Amino acid sequence: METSTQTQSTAVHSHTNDVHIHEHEHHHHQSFISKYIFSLDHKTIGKQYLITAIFMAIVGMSLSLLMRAQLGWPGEQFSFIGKLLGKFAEGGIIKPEYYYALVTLHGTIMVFFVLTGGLSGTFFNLLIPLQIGTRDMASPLLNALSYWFFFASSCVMLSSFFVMAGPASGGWTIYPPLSALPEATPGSGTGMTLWLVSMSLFIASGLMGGINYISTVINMRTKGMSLWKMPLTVWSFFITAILGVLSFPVLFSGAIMLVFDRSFGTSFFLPDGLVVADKLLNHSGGSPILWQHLFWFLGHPEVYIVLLPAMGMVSEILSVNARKPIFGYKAMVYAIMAIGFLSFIVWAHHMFQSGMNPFLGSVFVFTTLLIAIPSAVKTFNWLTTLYRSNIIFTPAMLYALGFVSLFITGGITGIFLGNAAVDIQLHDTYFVVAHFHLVMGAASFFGLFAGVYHWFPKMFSKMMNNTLGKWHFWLTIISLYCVFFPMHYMGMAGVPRRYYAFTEYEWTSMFTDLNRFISIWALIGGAAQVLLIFNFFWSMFKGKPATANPWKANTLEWTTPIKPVHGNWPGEIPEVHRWPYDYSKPGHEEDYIPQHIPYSETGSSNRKGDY
Amino acid sequence: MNLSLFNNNGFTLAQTSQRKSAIRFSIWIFMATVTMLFAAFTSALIVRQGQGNWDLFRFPAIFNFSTIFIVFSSVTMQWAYLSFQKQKTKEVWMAAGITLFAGLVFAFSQISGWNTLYDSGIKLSGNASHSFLFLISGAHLLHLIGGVVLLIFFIVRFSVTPSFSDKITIYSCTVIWHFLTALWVYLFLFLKYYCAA
Ligand code: HEM
Ligand SMILES: [Cu+2]
Repeated sequence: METSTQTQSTAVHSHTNDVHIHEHEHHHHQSFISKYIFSLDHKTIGKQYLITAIFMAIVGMSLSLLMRAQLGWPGEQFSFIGKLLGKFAEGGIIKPEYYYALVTLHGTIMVFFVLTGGLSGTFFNLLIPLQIGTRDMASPLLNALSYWFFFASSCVMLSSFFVMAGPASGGWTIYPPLSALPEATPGSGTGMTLWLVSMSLFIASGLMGGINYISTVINMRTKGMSLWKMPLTVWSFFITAILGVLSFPVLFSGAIMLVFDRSFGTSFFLPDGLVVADKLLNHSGGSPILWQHLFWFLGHPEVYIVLLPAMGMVSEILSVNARKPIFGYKAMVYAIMAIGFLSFIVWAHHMFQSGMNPFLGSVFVFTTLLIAIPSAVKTFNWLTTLYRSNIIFTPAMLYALGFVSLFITGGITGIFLGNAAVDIQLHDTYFVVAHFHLVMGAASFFGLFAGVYHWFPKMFSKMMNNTLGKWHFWLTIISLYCVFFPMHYMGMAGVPRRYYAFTEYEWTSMFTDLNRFISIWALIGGAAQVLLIFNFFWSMFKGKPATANPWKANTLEWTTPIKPVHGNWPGEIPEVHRWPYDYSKPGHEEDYIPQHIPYSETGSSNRKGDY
Repeated sequence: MNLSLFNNNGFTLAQTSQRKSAIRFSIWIFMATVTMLFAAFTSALIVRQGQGNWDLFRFPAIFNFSTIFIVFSSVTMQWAYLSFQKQKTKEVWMAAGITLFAGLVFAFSQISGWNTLYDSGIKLSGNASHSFLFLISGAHLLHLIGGVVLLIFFIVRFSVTPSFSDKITIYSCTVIWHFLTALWVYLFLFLKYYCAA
């Protein structure tokens, strides 16, 4: 219990300031289970998140390849798909209903499980304590619980592949009535129930994690680590966590109301006069649009929950490998805050075509386009950081550069979509698919990849293979652009998204070749990921041993021992004296000065106003 | 492995005090999430009400009583908190006990209010205004039960070892209790304004 440990430590160390007294009793005979499975150590929990996310990403990617097989070769009989999916793909042709299940689970898994749970779970856990200088999260127990809820929710989501009627199939946004009437489609029954159960667990996990991240950043920073000395990684994680705890409860409220509509006969989202299987339903007076409001109030912040952490890691990695301070550090922080704030007041841009009042629409056009400003600030600052720098092309750096490229390409199309009038043509077409895959999907994945390559040495005390990393990068970025860039043209021509096949009409079937081209590149891109998986697991065991600070970076995590210890620093926690971006400072013989080096040791490079 | 929420494993003395403020702070973030949940419910109600087909009905008088009871329980909770600060064991006991009792009375009067509504034909699956009333008051009651469990946890622990060293549990109890009171008062006025005939 708290009291006993505390009195004991007070008695022993009452006059020392920061002597490490951790776990004399438990440390040495920690069992395998408490060390690797039910661990309370933030570094282990981060790795657990990463491994789970890798698994979920493989599943999510396989689902997309199945969809691409159908779109590229509609009606073709793939015997292995028949064997894999059984009755859902008799004769090797995916059934239309199952195609929608694939769409839904692909979106859900990628957005929530890989890029939200996986990305934040991994790097927030690993980096927040290490970079702000604390021995662990504010509540390690809550932290571990958060992971196990995430794990459980992943299992429930995956289990829906094994129910008779198949998984949920109303899209990742689960619009009613398909999601509110268990009898509406095969996936609306058990599959949808499992989706809701899984997402409730997921939200619980996210809230536990988020509360912990926020209070850790606010309360647990080491001496000298003022807010304005925090690395941009921590800033972005911090704001992301705030977005999460404020927006996920809103999705939860919608999910609860959906459950009531499904099971207790209410009509929150169900309008009059719905007929299912020739039977008129009792529901009356509900509004499907209400669900859209609740969903997108989470949904838009969610896209930034996915993107902001990637932005933070990219800022850090760009600065390290350009060997230059990040350009406009404070502007970067304010831009993160501005994006975070604005992301709460733009949600209805997903609903321009839902019949909303055009005047209201124009308000949302305005707020939406405002986001372009902080986004541009960030982009310019990345480019100016790179300007006249001596770039070191590590795989992490390549991914960070790729991120900037994808963010620009995908962000520009957001400005088109943000105009309600232009959106009449573009809404629910492949243009939107191209937009969000580039700006959110691909870009955040690049942030994730960059983070994995950059912090792998910190996680596993080994180096990843550079050559494989570079091959992985080039194959991935080329195939990504070949997959998503052509989709803009299909979208401008009006080709709708979420269609099973485009063979019926001439104006869509003229894209058959293009669809095949896209599918081939999707397969290449998918195959390229084997390089990463192989590199990851092979390096874990056989990689070159890591050095203490392989990238010559300034942040605190590189002051911890190469072999991680419980409590992070065997001695005192280092004190912080400077911001994290003292790279290539004139007058200093080395091109970096870590945060814990006091100014008294760097007389030759100190400038007025430094301290 | 020590499974207390506030355990000290691996922490130094300096960090222990940081963690205490962190835990206190977490409670406030938690309340922010609950606030967002109810903000969502109540804005959904406003959106839905704006679309018409909205039935106004008579509120059972018992909801007035439950509101008074929960406000009263907040006062006694504060009394328990202050007594804890002053290390008055007996008063802590008494005040926490009364709070618990008042909390339970609140819970039962909510349930009996629902009963009255059902008797007069106002059901969960009826008009949207009915559904919202049950949904929102029900969600609040679930949170209150959470508060009751925390309070019971405190009382049980305090009776096993009457020590004044752990200030966090009573602090969280008190803050959360006041929060749930304020939340209910808001919800009550809100629901009365939008749903009552
Ligand atoms: C300048 C910035 C941006 C603007 C103006 C913008 C605008 C829009 C608009 C108006 C839509 C709705 C299109 C429609 O459905 O007709 C949309 C869709 C979407 N955007 Fe953006 N966007 C921007 C940046 C981003 C970023 C940074 C992300 C992710 C990190 C993102 C992710 C998405 C997603 C996921 C969708 C589609 C959701 C769906 O319908 O399934 N957007 N965007
Ligand atoms: Cu949006």
